[in-house]
Amino acid sequence: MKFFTITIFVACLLIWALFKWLTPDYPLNETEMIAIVAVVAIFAFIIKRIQLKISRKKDTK
Amino acid sequence: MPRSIKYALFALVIFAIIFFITMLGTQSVRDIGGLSPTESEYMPDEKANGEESEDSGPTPKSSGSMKPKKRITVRDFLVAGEKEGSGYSLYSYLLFKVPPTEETQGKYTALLAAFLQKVSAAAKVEKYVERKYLNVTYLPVNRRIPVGFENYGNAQKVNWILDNYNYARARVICAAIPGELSNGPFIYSVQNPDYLGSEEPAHFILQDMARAPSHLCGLWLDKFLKQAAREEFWQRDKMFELTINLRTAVAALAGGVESVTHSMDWWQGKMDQWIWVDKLVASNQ
Repeated sequence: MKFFTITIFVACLLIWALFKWLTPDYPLNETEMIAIVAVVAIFAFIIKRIQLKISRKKDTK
Repeated sequence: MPRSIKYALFALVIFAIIFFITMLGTQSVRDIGGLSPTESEYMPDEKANGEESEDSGPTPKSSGSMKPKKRITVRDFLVAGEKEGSGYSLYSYLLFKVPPTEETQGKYTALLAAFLQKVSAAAKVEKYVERKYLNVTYLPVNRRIPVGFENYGNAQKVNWILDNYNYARARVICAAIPGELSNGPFIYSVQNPDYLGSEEPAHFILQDMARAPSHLCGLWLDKFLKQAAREEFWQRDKMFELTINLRTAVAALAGGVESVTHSMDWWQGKMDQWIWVDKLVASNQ
């Protein structure tokens, strides 16, 4: 498993735990987690692209 | 892997560990924030004796002797042609402006079920606590509740309320609420039950639950119970409000997952068809 996947997994787990703590009687259900994983994945891809651009710039220098 | 990603990942894992430790060691928001106390909390004798059914509870030593630290929310029915009882500290109304439709039936049922589950009948609580410590929440109905209503099952109670709800009276009360309103449902609280009076209330609670999804109606109700329990009931708990808004936003996002999946499947099917037709045309040429 890649570090990238683990990061997304940990982030999603944190979000689930945060909501479980905030509203203990109403934890996130499966469909809600699907939506959250999608949003987290989009953010992760954006961050990864920015990282890639930065590292390319460094390489050309 | 770039060094910054490694640092970010390391920080995330550390944060996760700290968060889990904090979470395990801290009380939940319910305990910190102080929701409306449950029946067992204002009946210490019963709490000591263990769980007992609502109807077979022991008789208190003296009527109205308890002085709770927070305002307790109770429920009652506002029968057509009758007025609100006197002496309560706060008067609230659970209002439905329109009868349930196919889309809203589930939400109305969930809200009423949560309301009946979380809020005790006024007559029962008044045996222990004086009215000046109570927030009475009225449900406008067309006729008196049948004998033995409190012994009905929750689903049976909800059905009876939906069948006998007084929408006309609810609309009259809604007309007295300042500002523009959606289709609700609402909970409206004022100190004075004279809602048809000319003066606008100085302080009130208006909880519009139009955005609340069915499975979170209980959470929205918690927000109302928590706010009504405060001495200065018009003061909003912004942190709890933020939590509920965040939770509702996630639920709204999840509401679209199924329909988006269906539409993506539809497009997938269409694309496959078009590719197949293209291939067929190309092979014929």
